[in-house]
Amino acid sequence: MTIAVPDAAARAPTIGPEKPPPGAGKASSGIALLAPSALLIVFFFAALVWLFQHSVEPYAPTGQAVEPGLTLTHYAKALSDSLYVQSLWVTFKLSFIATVFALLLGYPLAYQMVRTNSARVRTFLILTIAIPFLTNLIVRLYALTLVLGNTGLINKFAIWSGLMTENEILPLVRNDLGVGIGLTYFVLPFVVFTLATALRRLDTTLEEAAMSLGANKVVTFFKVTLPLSMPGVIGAATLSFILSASAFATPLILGEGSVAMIANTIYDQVLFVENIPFGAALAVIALVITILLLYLQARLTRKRYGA
Amino acid sequence: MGAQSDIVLQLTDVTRTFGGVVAVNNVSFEVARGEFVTLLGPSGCGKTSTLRLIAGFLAPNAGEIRLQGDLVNNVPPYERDIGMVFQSYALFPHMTVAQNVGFGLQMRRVAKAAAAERIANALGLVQLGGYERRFPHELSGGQQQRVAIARALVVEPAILLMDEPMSNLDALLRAEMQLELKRIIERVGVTTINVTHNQEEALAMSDRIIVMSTGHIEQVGTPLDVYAKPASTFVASFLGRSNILVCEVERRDDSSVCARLPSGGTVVIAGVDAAVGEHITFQVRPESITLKAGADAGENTFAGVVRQVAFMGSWYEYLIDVSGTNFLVHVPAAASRNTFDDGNAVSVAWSADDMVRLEG
Repeated sequence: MTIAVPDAAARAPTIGPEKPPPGAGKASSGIALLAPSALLIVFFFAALVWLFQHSVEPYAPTGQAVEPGLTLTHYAKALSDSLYVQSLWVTFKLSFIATVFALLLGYPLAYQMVRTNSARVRTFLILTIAIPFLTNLIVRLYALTLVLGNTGLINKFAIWSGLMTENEILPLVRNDLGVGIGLTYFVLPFVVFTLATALRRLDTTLEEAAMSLGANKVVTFFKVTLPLSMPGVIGAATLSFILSASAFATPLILGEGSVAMIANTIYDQVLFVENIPFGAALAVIALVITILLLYLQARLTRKRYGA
Repeated sequence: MGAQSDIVLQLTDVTRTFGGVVAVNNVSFEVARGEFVTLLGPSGCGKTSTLRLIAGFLAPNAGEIRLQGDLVNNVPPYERDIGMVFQSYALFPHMTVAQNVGFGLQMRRVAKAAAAERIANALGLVQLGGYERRFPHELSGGQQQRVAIARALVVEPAILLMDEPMSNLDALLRAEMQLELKRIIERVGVTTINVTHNQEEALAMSDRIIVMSTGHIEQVGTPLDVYAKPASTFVASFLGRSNILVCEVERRDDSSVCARLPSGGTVVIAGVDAAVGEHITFQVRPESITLKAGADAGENTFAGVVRQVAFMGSWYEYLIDVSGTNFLVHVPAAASRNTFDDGNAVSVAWSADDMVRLEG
């Protein structure tokens, strides 16, 4: 109270039009709102510039003098040395497979989640997909090794049921198959929730219209539901591919070192070989591929028809 | 067969509930070949549920639905011979106009050349020739509706179902489309069931109107019947404007009764048989009442005071206070050189024939 009095007194004698110019408040608050994004732009952009800069620097092993100048040798090496081409290829192949399987599994799940009349079924589906999604990835991956591993549930079951002898092993980890399963499992929630959003937006009277014109449920699905949910499918596929292609922990844990996707190769180059320029070049290549994919998605889902 | 085969649709004691709520309650009616029948009622009266039962999007809990004599209670929509126009038109956004109209033909495996001809004819019928390659989002609301009509008619369905087809059009276009749609349907001769809450649309387009309320049928009749002889207070107040009054019978003659209004005064009602002392409800349409300046004497004539005047374009709407009871009176604007103002003393009068007794 007593503090407020001199404050008010000090303000009272202000004479003349001291009002801020119209719109000034709005503008300043607008700039304030931009601050966080500006921060992000500056730091993200700076990191990218730094990455690119390193990717064209000549490399010298620790202790040796670095030659001056710029070079594209790292890019040439990344795109010609079979070891790294192989890593890029494995990344592409596994991401593609995981995306296809996540879409095949995710579409029926999302459809059921959106269309079921039972609130219980819906809640059950949402929880089954959301709970693993909210669990730490490393925990989930180790849990998956308990199922897929050489002494895991599936192998034990196969031996117990007599499908395999005790000397046989069904190899579900330490190979592409295991990593593929792990990636599918990792991207499935993203795919399901993306597709569910697209399906929820779809006007079901369009399906009724198709049925009123003689299309049975299967024909209605393939002629109306699926084509109209394509933007969602493409969005889910892009998200799934990009997430798979940048996977690091999944190939590390389920591949147990024998499957090297691009993130693992970059990690090895930077931390063990200490060839930062080459790691940076690999990262730029991965980034360019991602940007190309996003561009492709934007082209494919560009509005072909209104709303 | 004969008369039997002329019944395209037959509903018998059809009931449908949603989680304990009765949406359609024991509804029965028949629709003859070539007839235009409107299901009319306020929202929630069960008219749309009835249409969806006929289309096959809903199955009845009880009763029978027969389409061309066949029981179709559990037949899916795609196996019923129907055409449907949806409130939102429901045009496939990823298909051109021709593909939309041709969808039903494609489902019926009509050969391409024959289909193309039928699509062209259907589009010609709705005056959209040349729009084949457009997409729905490139069309106006009215044009989209025409495509929806063409799409439903091109398959030559046994029955055309329309769910509030005009509700997304603006008033002027709606009036135009009512007439045009009626012309198209008459030309094609298709049996039609139209669902609407719009009484003008129902009156203007229908051969028969089925008035529904809270899941059951209130009245079935020609537009003139339901307007001039409403069966219930609900129908009287839902279709057009009405003065609805309750009075007590004082005297009865051979062909009329004399009854006392609650506000005082007696009315003579023609063609009504009621016991002395009985309370009866009757209706007088606002356009049946004549207004005169000052007091007047005569049968069914009462002195009142003008309480409110509104100019409605082609008519004036007056609210006349007759001893505490408000009467709504419509007077054609062209005929009334001298309009009455607030507070003017007037007399209202109507003919004994213009009073319609209402049940319930």
